Amino acid sequence: MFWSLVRKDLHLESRTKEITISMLAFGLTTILIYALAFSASPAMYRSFAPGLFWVIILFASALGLHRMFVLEKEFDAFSLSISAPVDRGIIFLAKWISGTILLIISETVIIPPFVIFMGLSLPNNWLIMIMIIIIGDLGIMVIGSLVSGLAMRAKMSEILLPILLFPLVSPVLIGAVKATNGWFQGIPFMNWQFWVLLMITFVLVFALLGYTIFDHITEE
Amino acid sequence: MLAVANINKSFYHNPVLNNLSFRVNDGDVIALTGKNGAGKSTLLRILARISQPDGGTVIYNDVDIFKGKASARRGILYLGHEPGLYPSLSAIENIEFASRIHGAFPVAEDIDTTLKNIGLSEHINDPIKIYSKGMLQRLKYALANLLPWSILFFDEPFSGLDIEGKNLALDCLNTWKMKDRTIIFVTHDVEWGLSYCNRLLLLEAGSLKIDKSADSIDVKTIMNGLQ
Repeated sequence: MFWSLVRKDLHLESRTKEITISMLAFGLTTILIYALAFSASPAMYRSFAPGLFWVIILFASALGLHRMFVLEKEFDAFSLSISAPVDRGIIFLAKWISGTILLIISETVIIPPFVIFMGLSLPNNWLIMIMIIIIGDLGIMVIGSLVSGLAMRAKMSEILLPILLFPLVSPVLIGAVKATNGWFQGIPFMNWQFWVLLMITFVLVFALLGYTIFDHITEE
Repeated sequence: MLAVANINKSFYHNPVLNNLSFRVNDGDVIALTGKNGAGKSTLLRILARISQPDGGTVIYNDVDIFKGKASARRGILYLGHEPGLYPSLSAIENIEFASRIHGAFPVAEDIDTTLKNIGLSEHINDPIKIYSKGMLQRLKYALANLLPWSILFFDEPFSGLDIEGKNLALDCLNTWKMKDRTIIFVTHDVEWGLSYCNRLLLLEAGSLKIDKSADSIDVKTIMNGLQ
């Protein structure tokens, strides 16, 4: 059941491309603006690159999440899923995972120009950065899916989503920036593992919370 | 099969359903009628667990659908006023997805045949957002023919259908009736409701005004009630 729901979300996106295009358009435009507007030294770019990267990912995610849930509202399609004999917690988990997959796909396009335009030289241990990105993405999307589910029935969901999402996601974002910076500056993992653990804690808490309460927040 | 007890529902402090109670037995074919805003569609959405009542219970096969596991709702199929399908997916993709989440796995041949029988053999691979209202309504009948259900909630079964579509719909409805399937229709066509259904529920301002078997009701009484 879970994979049927994930597959449906990915299939929908392969047809519409609305989510990835909105995330990519925002991400790439922001990178270009920053790259062209600032003439900072490489050291300066190095210091603010982690923060800039995660802010871009957060705003791109907000756009993607909004589109993802708008697709459910069209034709009252969401009623098909929620009237079926499917645990709504599973619907939440599927939305979370499919959203994370789409975010990772967008990041594979956003990251190369980000590195090139910012003139960044990256450390070799890529696996650690991939791990930080995946945990950060899971964190943003788990909170985002919960908040989007809450906002989708509201009349002004596009306003409600960022109002609820940004404050809730800030601990994950701070953790992601700190961890990325630690990796970027070559600081030993022991010195910034707290931030990774903080992100993992948030992912687990919100995954559990979302699984439990999605049933109630999606009802009319 | 289904026991509805003391259902209340308000939107923005405006009561829509007031203390509604009734039972549905196996094989009942019920016409749910009433004026616009009487609460018919809201009631169906509550029975399908899309909407949450402010109070009351809906017991389906001895399980409260708002407290029991999701699997306890297996056998309930809701076809609402809206298409309730994904506009960017094709008819086949929508049917395949709906089947999977309802625990059914129809073979491609059955899907093709059903779509053909309902007059949707063209455009089956196009996104359904290009479909007319009548085509979307036909697609709902295809879904109802392919998905497993023991009780069907159908909001306005003839909405948007042309004469040919209506005849195809009547064929489906007659087949279901002959098989003693349990159905609740929302309809404004009282005459059809009384001729086809074996029971009629009349909602007025969120309250159940009439709950009688169809053969004991005079059409004029209902029409007067609706005016």
